[in-house]
Amino acid sequence: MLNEKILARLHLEAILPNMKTMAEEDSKASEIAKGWDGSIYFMAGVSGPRATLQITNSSVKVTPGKAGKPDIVLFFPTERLMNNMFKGSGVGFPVPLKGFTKIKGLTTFMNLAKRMEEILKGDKAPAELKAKLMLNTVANAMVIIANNDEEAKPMLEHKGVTEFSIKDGHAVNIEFTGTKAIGKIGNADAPDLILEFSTPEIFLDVSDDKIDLMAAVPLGDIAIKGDLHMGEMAALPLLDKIGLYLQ
Amino acid sequence: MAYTFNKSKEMFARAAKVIPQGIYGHFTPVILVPGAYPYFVQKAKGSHFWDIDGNEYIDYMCAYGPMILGYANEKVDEAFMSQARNGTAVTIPSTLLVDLAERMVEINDCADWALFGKNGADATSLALVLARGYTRRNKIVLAEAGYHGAQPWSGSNHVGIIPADRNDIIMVPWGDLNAFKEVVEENKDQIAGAMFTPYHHPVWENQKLPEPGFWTGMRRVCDENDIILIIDDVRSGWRLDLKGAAHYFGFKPDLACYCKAIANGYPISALVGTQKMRIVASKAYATGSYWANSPEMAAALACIDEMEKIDVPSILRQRGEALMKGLNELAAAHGLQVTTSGPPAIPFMKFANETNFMRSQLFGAECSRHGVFFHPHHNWFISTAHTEEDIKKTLDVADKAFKAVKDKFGD
Repeated sequence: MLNEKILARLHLEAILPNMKTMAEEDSKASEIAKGWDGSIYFMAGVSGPRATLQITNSSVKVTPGKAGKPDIVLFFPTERLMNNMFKGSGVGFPVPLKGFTKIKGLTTFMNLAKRMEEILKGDKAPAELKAKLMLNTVANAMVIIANNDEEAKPMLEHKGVTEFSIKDGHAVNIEFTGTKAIGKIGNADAPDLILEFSTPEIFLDVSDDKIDLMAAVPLGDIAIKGDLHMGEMAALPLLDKIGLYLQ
Repeated sequence: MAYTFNKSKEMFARAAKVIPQGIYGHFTPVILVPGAYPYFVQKAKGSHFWDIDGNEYIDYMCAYGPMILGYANEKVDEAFMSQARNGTAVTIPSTLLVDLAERMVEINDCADWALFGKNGADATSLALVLARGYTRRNKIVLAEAGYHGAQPWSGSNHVGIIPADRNDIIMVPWGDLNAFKEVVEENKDQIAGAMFTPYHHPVWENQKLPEPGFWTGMRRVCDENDIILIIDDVRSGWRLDLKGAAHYFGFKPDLACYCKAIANGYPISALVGTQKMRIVASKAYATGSYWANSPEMAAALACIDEMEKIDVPSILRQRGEALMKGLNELAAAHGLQVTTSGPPAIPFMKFANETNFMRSQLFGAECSRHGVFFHPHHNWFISTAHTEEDIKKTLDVADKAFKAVKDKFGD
C-alpha cells in the first residue's frame, strides 16, 4: 500500500527540484523558464508537504516549504489530488488560493513539467541529462522513503554511505546513519558501497526495471564493491520502492 | 602470473540471455568480486577445482559445505554410481532407506528416527511442521541473521516474500538467552519451536560460538515451556562432531536438520529426532519426487563410514587451525588487523578495522587470481582433502594478497 503523503513528498522534494537542473542544462527548459519571473507555492493536503518553485531570469529554484511571498498559491485539499496532477492521471487539480489570474506563471510551470516529462519519459533527450535527473531523484527519494515509509524502517538500521555513480559522470550518495538517511549530490568522501554504472543508459535501464541487475554486474555493465550487505538490505530494496511509488 | 577469466565471462554472457541473474542464488558471482573470480567449473578433484579457463584453485568453500572428503571421492562416488546402475528414482524405495535411517540413529546423538529429503530446506521446513504439529502452536523463534534456507518463512526482504509469510516468526539475537526468555514470556503457550544453528555463522559477520551455559539454558527454557528445540546443523553437521554439533556443545535437541556434508556432495538431507517426536513425525506428510532416491543414500552411507573411519572432525580441526594460525601470523607481519572466527573446521577471516569488506574483497580477489578460493563475505570450509602442501601454498598466496591490501589501504 503506497502512502499518498510520502508520494506527495516525492513529487515536491524529489522530482520538482529537478526543474533547477533541467533549466540549467536543457536549452528548451531554459527557454520556457524565460517566459515568467515569479514563484508558485504548492500545498499538498491540510498538513502535507509544501514546496516553493521560484523562477528568476530563466533560472529555477525549488525550496521545501514556503519561500518568500509567492505569486501563486496552489492548495490541493488532499495529497492524492496533487499526486494525480503530477502523475497526469485521475482527478488532480488545485484550489488556487492566490494568483489564479496569473495565467502566464501557471502556463510556464505546466510547460516546464511537460518538458521534464519529455526528458524523463521520452527517448529524445540526452541520456546524460536524463540519468542526472534520475540519479538526483533517486538520492532524494531514497531519503524520503527511508525516513518515512514504515516498511523501510528496518533498512534504516544499516550504517554507511552508498554511492550511485555513472562512470566518469554524475554521482549521488546516501548516508545511512543507523537512524536516518541523508542524501547528497556528488561523490562521497569515503563510500562504503559503490554502484558504478558504466553508461547513463545502463543506469536508466536499471531505473526502469529493464535490466537484470544481478547479471549486469558480472557482465561488467555495473561495478559494485564494498558493503554489499547494505546494498542487499537497504539500497536496492529502497531503489525498488522508489520504482513502486513512481511507476 | 595472475589468472584471467575470459571463458568464464563469455559463458556468463550466454547464461545471462536465458537465465535470470545468469547464475543465481548463493552461487551468484555478484557476492564474490566479479571479474576476479571464476564463474564456471570444468572439473574438481580432492581439494582443488579447475575453472573453464583452465585455472586451478585450492578451494576453501567446498561447494559451500557439501564437500568434506574431497571432490570426486572414489569411495563415495563408487557407492553412488554402483547404486545408480540399479535405478535412481524408482516406484518403491530401496532397502538403503532403512540402512541409512539405522545408520543415522546409530551415529547421531539425538536421532531415534530419521526422515530424508533433498535439501537442507526440506529438513528445516519439515522440522517446523513437526514442532507445530506436536505442540499445536503456531509461533517459531529464529535467530536474527540466521539462515535456514531460501523458503519464505526463513527469508528476509527478498522480492515476493510478504509479511504474512513470516507472521508467526519471532526473531531474537543468536546466543542471547535472556532475549529468548523474554519472547517466551511475551508469547506464553504460543511458541511451537525454536530453531537455531548450533553456533552462529551469519554471512557478512564474524562467527560466534555459544557462551558457556547458553545451550543448557536454552534446553531448560524450552523444556519448561514445552517448546521444541530444533537445531539446524545443515552447515556445521559432521565437521565438528559426527554425533552432531549439539553433542559437541553438550546438549540434546528434539529435532536436528542435516544436509551438505552428509553425502560428500550428493543431494540428500535428513531430519532426525528424539523418541518424543516420533509419533508426530509419523503423522506428517513428508515427501518429494526424489526423496527416496537410493544412489544418494548409498553415497551417504559410504560417506558416513569414511568420516567415521578417519575421524573427520579431528583432521579438519588440525588443518583449520594450521590455516588460521598462518593467516593470523601473516596479517600481523604485514601490520594488518584480522579477526578469525568460528570453529577451525569452518573458519572465517575478516579485517578487524573495516565494516564494508573492501579489504576482504581485495584480499579475496588477489587470492582468487593466484589460485586460492576464499569467499570475502561467507565462512569457509575445510575438507580432509586439504593437505599440508595446500595450506603452505595457500599461505604463500595469502602473503602476497595481504601485501596488496597493505599497499592499498595502509592498515
